[in-house]
Amino acid sequence: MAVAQVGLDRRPAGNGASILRPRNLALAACVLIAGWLVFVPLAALFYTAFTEDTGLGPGPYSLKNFFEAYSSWHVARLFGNSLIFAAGTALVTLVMGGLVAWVVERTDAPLGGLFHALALLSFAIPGLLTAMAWILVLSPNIGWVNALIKSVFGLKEAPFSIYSMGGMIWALSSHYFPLAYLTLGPALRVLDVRMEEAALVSGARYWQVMPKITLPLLRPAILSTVLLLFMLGMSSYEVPRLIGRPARIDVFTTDIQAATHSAPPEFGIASALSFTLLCICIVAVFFYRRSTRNAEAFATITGKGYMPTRIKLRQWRWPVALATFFLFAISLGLPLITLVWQSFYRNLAQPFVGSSGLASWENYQFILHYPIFVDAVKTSVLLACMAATIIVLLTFVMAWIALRAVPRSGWVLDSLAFMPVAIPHVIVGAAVLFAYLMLPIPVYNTIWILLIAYVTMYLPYGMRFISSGLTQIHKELEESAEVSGARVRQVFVRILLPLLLPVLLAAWIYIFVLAVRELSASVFLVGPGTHVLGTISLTMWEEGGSYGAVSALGVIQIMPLIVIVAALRWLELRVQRRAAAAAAKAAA
Amino acid sequence: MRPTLTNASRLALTGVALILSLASADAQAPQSRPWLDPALLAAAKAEGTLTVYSSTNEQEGLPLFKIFEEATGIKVQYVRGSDSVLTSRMTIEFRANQKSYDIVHMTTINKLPPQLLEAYEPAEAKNILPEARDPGKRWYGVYANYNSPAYNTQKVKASDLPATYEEFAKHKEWAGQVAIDGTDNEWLKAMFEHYGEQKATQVIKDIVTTLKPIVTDGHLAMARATGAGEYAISLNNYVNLSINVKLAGSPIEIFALDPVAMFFGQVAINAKAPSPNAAKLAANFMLSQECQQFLAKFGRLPTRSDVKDNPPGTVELLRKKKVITTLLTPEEERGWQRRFAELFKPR
Repeated sequence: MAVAQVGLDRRPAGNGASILRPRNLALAACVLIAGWLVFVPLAALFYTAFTEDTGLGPGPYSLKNFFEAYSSWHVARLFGNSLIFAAGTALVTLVMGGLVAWVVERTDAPLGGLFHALALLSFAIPGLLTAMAWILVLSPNIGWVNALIKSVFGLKEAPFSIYSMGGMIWALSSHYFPLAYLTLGPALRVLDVRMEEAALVSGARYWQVMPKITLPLLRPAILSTVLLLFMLGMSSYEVPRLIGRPARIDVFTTDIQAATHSAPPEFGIASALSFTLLCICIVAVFFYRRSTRNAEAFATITGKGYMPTRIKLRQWRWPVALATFFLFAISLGLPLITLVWQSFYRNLAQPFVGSSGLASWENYQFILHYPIFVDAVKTSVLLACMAATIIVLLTFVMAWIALRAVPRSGWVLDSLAFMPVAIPHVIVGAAVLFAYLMLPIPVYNTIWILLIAYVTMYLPYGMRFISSGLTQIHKELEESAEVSGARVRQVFVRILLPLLLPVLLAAWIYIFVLAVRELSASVFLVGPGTHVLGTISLTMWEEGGSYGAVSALGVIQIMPLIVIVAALRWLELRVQRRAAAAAAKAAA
Repeated sequence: MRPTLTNASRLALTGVALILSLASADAQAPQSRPWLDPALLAAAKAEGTLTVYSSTNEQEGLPLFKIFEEATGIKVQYVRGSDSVLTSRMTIEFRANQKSYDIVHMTTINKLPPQLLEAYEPAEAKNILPEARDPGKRWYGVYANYNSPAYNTQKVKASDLPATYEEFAKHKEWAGQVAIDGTDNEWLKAMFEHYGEQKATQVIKDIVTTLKPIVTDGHLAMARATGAGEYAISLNNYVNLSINVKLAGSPIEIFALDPVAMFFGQVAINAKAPSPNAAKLAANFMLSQECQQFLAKFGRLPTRSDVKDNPPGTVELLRKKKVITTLLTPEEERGWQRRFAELFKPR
């Protein structure tokens, strides 16, 4: 069977009309929509980078911004710091997330459900608050863990300092490792254990099976995760802003933010600096695609049926579970306890060490009575639901086109969808505002303009999640369906959707959480009556609002997310049970 | 025994009641609101709505404009954003010929291209500080943003505080515990104006060499951190933010040194305002005694002499020093930013 036939419809329809079949048109529409979404901020990035800033927007074409941005050796230091920070974060996060994914998905260790919920919880906390919480935990002056250790061991100097490269990497990794768990988890879940069993039966030890069988099979998921984490590290700005700046460890985003926050903002310089991020992003996608080009080699779900089974840990079940719990206690427990504790006090409060004043609900009352809080919650949840749904559907189709329909040139589409990750969100916000003010599309001052920005910004996450999941499904399943007369819609609905559902749900949850707390682009796009949670958080941080109020806002934001995440987990478990039952039936 | 009133008492009580009711009616009447120009009000009412862009948080901003709404019957739409975001947004909207907002209230209006703003002189402008009035009539100061150092009272004794900026360099024990925001260009300009270029450079270099100041991002974050004890001293910060943290109960105090840099939280009217008369009326309101009294409750320092500061005596303390008004143009801002980076972030 000709593999190349899978994908775009090439069946003769007479008079060369095949290209106009509805399925091809639908696919083309998805690509065009995604292309347009990415084109707007990308065009703005190029235009502002290559034009002079006149104070009233871009002026004549010029390379002045690049000279200003790159003419000092300072850039080399930014580049070096950024690389160390992003690579360190990707590595630590991958190890932490990978371990949790392995425990939850591949072993019979108890508390798997709890770990799943905790993982989601840890990135539900906004990045700005995570960074603030780590300062309150590990600052040499006011960090309560340092104070506790000093008093217990009678030390004169604080044993830890968050104000270091190691501190920055740890603060970001503790926030992002659930992402590694979410991307690796579904891949581990659908990994066909019979390949490992075959190796074990042939006399291999488990420590040999892991690097020779398991990890190579997971290569697309691992590389996809590393790529995403690396780019997130390169483009993250909360940790560099709160922890890196006082430590004098500047990275690219520090300078990009400084340029966009100056008065008047220097978007030209910010865009010129962003070019480095964009180039790294394209190179990274290219190499990712290169290293996973033999897609069939990584497919673990084939037409031969598969049976996800778990490793029996026997007497190690509880020790492994407790070690995983300890990981969560450190990475999530410390900042969360700090935030919750702080939320009951107005000024600095150190858990178990000392707090000024009496605990009260004052901060919660302040937030709940904040004039636009309830409206903002409603708008944010609605927008996040819509954005997550649209992105998952769109990238489902895009990933399929990139991997199945046009596999040779699919990396172009993959890169296109991934590019927004390298464009600072403030630039996306400004570009979307400008574009839709100029175009006769009446979305200005409505939630639709926010939705457009959110879909643009989070498209890369959907693409990474789904393309790594799709790589694990062998295309022989689709080929068999097509040979049996199934239409593309049926292939999507009856074959790909059930198999990819865990991945799609994971992507949906992650995008939802990111969108609920988005602030950088929203500040440009909110209008009267379209306030979002992120802009309130920023107001609390920038203008009024004590440590306590900021912490209370963080805790309040987590609450609805817990409910939503629990509901989705319930749905996910149901789907998994049904899939397991179907697999068992097929095997029988 | 049931108490009875004499005729004289009844008369006296009736008189008091009449005076009180008149006083109350007077309080509601437009005459008690000098900013409420009847002709402007009628024209503004016909427009119906007012859109405000402001960097002031909603906790202060919404109740403030509620006063305006109740006094005028004009519906207010309030959009909050940081100075830099609002600047970009207004510039983009101007280029797109979008009639979006009527008035803007933030601290960097003087750095905006003048084409964005309508030249207008509100009647209440005569009551504010002369330096709070733009000679081009495009903006007016609503509150004064004074700059001064602040210290954590649990980490530093008041008796140890330096009397001049030069004396900072004598306190080696504060090394690594002094912070300054990375955008304090107004303060830097005032230092150069006060000390002269050569001496100012030397004073700052000595401070940087001895104290290794931590350059932070965000003035409120720095005020909070100083109040929490993360830093012992803010080398410079906005007085109203240090006061804000103090009013929240943190152990932080300001102290004044020569020079005290000052700029303003300003108000201006959009050149393309969709409701130009409502904008003029709102600008007049922002400069009124009523508005500035309301803002003073939150520690904003007034630009009118007939409004008391909060905490009392703050302005007097600052005014004992050499106050230098620093209003930078965008080009000056870039220049001072470069100089700041050179001095505070030696590479």
